[in-house]
Amino acid sequence: MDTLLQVDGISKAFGGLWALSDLSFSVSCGEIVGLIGPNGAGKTTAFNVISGTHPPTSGVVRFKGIDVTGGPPNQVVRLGLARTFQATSIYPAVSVEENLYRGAIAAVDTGLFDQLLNGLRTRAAVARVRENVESVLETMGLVQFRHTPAGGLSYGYQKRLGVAVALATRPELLLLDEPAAGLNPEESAEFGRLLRTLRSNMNLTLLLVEHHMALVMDLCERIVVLVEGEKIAEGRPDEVREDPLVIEAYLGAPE
Amino acid sequence: MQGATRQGYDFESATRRIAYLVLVVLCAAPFFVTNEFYVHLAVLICLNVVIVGGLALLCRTGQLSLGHGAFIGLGAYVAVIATMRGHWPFWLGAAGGALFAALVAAILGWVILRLRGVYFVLVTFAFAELVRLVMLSWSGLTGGANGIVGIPSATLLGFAFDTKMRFYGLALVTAATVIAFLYAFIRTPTGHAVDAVAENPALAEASGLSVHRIQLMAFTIGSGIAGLGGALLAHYVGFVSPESFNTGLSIAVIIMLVIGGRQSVWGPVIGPLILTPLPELFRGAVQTQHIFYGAALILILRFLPGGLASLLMRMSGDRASH
Repeated sequence: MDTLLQVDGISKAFGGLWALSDLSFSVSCGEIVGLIGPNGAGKTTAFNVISGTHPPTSGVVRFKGIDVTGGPPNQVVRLGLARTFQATSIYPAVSVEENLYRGAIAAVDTGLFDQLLNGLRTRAAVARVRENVESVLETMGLVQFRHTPAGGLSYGYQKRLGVAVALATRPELLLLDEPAAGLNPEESAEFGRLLRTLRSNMNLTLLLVEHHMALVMDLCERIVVLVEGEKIAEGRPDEVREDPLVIEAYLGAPE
Repeated sequence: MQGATRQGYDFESATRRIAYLVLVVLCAAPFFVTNEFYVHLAVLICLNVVIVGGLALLCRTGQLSLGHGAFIGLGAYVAVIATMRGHWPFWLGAAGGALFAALVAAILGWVILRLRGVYFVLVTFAFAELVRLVMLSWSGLTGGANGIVGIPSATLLGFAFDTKMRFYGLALVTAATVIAFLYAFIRTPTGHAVDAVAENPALAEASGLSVHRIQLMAFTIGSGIAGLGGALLAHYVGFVSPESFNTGLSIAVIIMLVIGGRQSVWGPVIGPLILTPLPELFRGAVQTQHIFYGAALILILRFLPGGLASLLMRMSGDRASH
């Protein structure tokens, strides 16, 4: 399998605090990889570095072989690496459809003048964006909420919309920051099924940070475990589950 | 249908009808109003619409400038100096003033638009003071504190806008063009991107939209429009001085925008329409005038954050768009 994302020795210091030290792992095309660890282990920092939001103190991030270290994020997304955020991943004041339209609109690359005149190239680009929006609405089961203000959706559907906005950018690799946080077990299981469907229907590769262990163990093919900014284990779910270092990190060392 | 995707920001037909009515009244006014003073007020309203429209563009991206007066001043001075010293025709001087203001905004914005919220506001304030001091000190070019007097009236293709009534025509067309531009702009994909940047910059950036580039574009175009307004103002009034473009002007523009409505194309029309004639009502009590502005601003921000434009929308029963 081709390597899609290569994280090579990234470290990140905030003042004197090392949030990440020398983290390396890779994600292959079509994989679902989980990034887990106790609170404060540096998972979100790792996401911020990979997506280009924060430059790392040292190390290199390669996506499709291209060095994307340090962003800027809007360029990284255009290459096909999208992410969602833990909390606010939507535009609450506008409709669900407009949320997706805003997610997809970076694909319109015509000049402002052509846009103001609504020229042929702009019209063609906008038509493609609309098509994309429709397909994401359908895939994510949001068609019936098309005109609903995003802030009025239930929490579960807001989470789902957050993923949908990221999908509207037409990514190859999607970074999901706690997609199932706050969902009940039933909703979370449904979310897992949805993510699997997405992978096969949209040729997607997924990297997710998640605390919901049942979902992680069930969904991921490979897991990377972070503790205090360092990788302590990596492997298949059953391997990671048996790893004494992981058990110690989550449950504490036996007396 | 495109309108359906813009709930929350769009105007429904009833409010649009009110706007058309305003436009018709503005166009018809000269035929009924013979009092010079009212024509003078109408000219000032139109010029304020241009100027506030420029700030509205930046404001829509989620940033606020306290230095808008400086760009009005830059446009005015460049246009005046170009026509009086360089003997440029009026239209070329005005275009030069607008372009110069836009260029300065592009350079300044490139550096400071990484700042957010109050920090951006503070730097634009400091920049405006800097511009005012340069105008004051560079007396060889700008006439210093005395300013420049005897600015010739605007002429276009041999036609002189030398009476209040004639200038009103020019000002009205310019104001209508600016509003039409704003109206078309927010409906383009870039316009949607502007709203995305204002509502959630982190998400916009994560969706492939460059927050910096979009805000820089809005700041540049908006300041260019302010420069154009300044050039027209200078040729209309016939006099400029550094004090014409102090912080008071920047604040007045913000007040007009906020009271008119920041999230609507019609805000920059309604704000100047109401606030430009208002000082005339307070002739006898100049001090109380500013107390009134302060109170009005606080009340609007607290109870009507969408400005009077949103009130009009509500009155016309367009609940669907909320």
